[in-house]
Amino acid sequence: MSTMLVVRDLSVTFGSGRHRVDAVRGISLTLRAGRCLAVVGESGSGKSVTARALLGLAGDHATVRAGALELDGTDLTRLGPRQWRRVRGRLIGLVPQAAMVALDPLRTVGREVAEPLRLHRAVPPADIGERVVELLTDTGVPEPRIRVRQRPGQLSGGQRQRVLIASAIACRPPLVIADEPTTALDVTVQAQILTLLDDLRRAGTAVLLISHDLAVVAQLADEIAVMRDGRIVEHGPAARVLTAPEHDYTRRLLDAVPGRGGPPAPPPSAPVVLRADGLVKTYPRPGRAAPLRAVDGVSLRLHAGETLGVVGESGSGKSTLARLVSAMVAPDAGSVELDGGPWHDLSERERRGRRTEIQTIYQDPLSSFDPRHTVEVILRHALQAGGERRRTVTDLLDLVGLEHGLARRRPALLSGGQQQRVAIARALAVRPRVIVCDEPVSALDVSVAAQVLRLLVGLQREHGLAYLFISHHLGVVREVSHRVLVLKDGRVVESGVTGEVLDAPSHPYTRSLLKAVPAMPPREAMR
Amino acid sequence: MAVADLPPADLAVLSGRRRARGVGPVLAAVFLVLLAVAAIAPGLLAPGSPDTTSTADLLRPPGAGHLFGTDQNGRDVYTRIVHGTRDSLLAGLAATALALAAGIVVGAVGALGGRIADNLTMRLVEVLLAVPGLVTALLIVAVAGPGTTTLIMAIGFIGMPAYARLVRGQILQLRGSAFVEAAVAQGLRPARVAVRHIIPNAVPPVLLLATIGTGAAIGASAALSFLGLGPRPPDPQWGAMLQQGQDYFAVAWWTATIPGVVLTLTVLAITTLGQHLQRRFDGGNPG
Repeated sequence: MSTMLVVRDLSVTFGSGRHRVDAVRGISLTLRAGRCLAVVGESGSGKSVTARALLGLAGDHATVRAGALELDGTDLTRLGPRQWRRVRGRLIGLVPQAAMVALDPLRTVGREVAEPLRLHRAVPPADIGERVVELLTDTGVPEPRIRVRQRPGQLSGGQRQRVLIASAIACRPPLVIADEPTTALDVTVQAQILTLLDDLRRAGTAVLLISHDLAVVAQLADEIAVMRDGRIVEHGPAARVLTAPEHDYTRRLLDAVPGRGGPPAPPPSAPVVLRADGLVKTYPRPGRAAPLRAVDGVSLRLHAGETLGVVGESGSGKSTLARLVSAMVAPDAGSVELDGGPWHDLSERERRGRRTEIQTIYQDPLSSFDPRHTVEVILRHALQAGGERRRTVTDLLDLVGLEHGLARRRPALLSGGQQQRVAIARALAVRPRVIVCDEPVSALDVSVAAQVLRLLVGLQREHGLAYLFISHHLGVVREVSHRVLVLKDGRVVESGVTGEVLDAPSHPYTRSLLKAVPAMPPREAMR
Repeated sequence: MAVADLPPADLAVLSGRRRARGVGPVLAAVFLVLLAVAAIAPGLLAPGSPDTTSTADLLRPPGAGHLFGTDQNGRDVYTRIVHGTRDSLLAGLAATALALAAGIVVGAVGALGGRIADNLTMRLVEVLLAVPGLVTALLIVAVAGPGTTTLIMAIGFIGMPAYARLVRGQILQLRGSAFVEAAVAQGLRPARVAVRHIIPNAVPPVLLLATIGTGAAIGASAALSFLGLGPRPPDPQWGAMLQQGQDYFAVAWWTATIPGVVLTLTVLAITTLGQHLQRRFDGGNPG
């Protein structure tokens, strides 16, 4: 097999002088046709900058140096902007992250996929239409002849990611760079996308996969390079790196992959703090379509000190359920009781005094903070709202393991993990009985997610908190939940003790969800 | 390379570049301070009377004796511009304040007053936006009669719809935001949520529009004065000066051009400073 990509001593720096940042510090990689190399690392490790440098897109403020940068024997370091444009899309295809925003909402899917074909004159203009349909068929987009005339807004997240892949491989590039291609996708969709990339690799394409998630990488990679602070700390065959890691950092990343441990032991019996019966919420749909039953007859019990996991794909009604129990929307039918008292049928005025008993932690903590406020102001307001006299902002920061100095900053200047800790501190400030965790770690790196989960579990033990823990990530749910509830199309299809449901699922939907979870090979020696 | 390793020349270039970015707002601020002085105490900048005529100095070009030249009556253009600042700016500022106040009320009523109130206010706003503003203003002045007060009322009225729309959109967007939900979840009363989160976040974009709007309102008041619907001659007002100057444009370009340039610079300075302040205000949120 021919060598497709050679990178030797690649370094990328931004700025100069005091503001100089070394994003990539001399990394070397080789990738052969028909193979997949995974570059793994956390945010800020330099993996995405590496990917962009390989596309000649490191940016105006970046200085890129390389001992060698060769694609299929061509020296890329000497290319001018015009020549780079001929390489991108034709010789290197990019599958970007964030399928939701990477497509132009005003252009049809057909035009999006046809663009590289037209630009690089890969096929005669008359054949472009046929080729687009062929590409969409190959990437598994259902009903391609209808889809070509649709716009991204009419497609699901998984379909959009397929369209992006179709566009990336339109000119049959020998190298495809996939930058976090499955982040923010449901497990089942993620499994399909990984299979698709695997098919490409089998067909002879060289695949460079960038990801923070070792479990995703384990499915696809022949080789793994682990990056940290702009350097490759470990590089080797995937099987070896995953089962017998040599570097401490790799070991830590592997340990952070959720779902490796068993579910927590059930807590001693405690009173029910949240009780929902037969909840129904419908939303009108345009035209004469029947209204959407987002939540359709859901009942649940949550005890003090317990975590109830709610699992399901996007559109299963998880978030609507969260808003129903926190009384942000009113149910069409059914009832919610909080702490043994009425909740959903209170007037807003009556409810206001009890709102502090149930708090929510969101997937995107940043949007849940007033952009004008510093951490200190946010927490002080929360303490005031809870009528707190004893505890201070510093106490709250200690509680969630944040440095005191961060109090003066605005949340926008904090890392994702720090932001989520501030959100947890704010929720705890009002001493709630129940916390609704709506995908609290889905936007975080694996190792940061593991820390936040540990914090949540610790706080639960200490304060007897009850969590309604919503996630599409089965590994995360397994690690924190005492009981789980599997949601599909707004209905509960299965529920029970975590171990029983996730180890011996009885419903086919639960089984399909579990099958889609990327499996990690067992480690040889646990240190 | 650390900072210490850089030759001094490089450092100078770097810091110089950083300073260059701030020159626009500074110049704008200096110009606006001058205008403020001219508006409050014109005598400081131009000791003479703006209405002194001199038959010996008809239509003199700009030069040593008369910085901006003289007009058809031999009056000093510079003195007239300085003394006309107050009237020229005041009309625009007052009209903007009026438009802003009315816009905030109408927009808030639309966003918070229920579906009927929303429909009524927004249809009114759309009708006003559909007709060119100056036409509406002309209509109002035609009915109420010319003069400074009607001028302000008319320009304020035509400025209102833009603010109302923005305020309504801001409030609706903020009401649906996660941080407002988080505040509600803490049991805060609606008034508290409005004061703490909605109003402070809704105001900055409205104020930015208002600074740009001030420039536009000054322009509009000059335009109406140009049409003879503002203050009565011989009061020096930039719009009126423009209008009188145009008759002599072929022989004395300065009589119309210089008030026009000053007017343009004023609008430009206000807009530049407004945008600068807006960026400063948003400084906490990169991107």
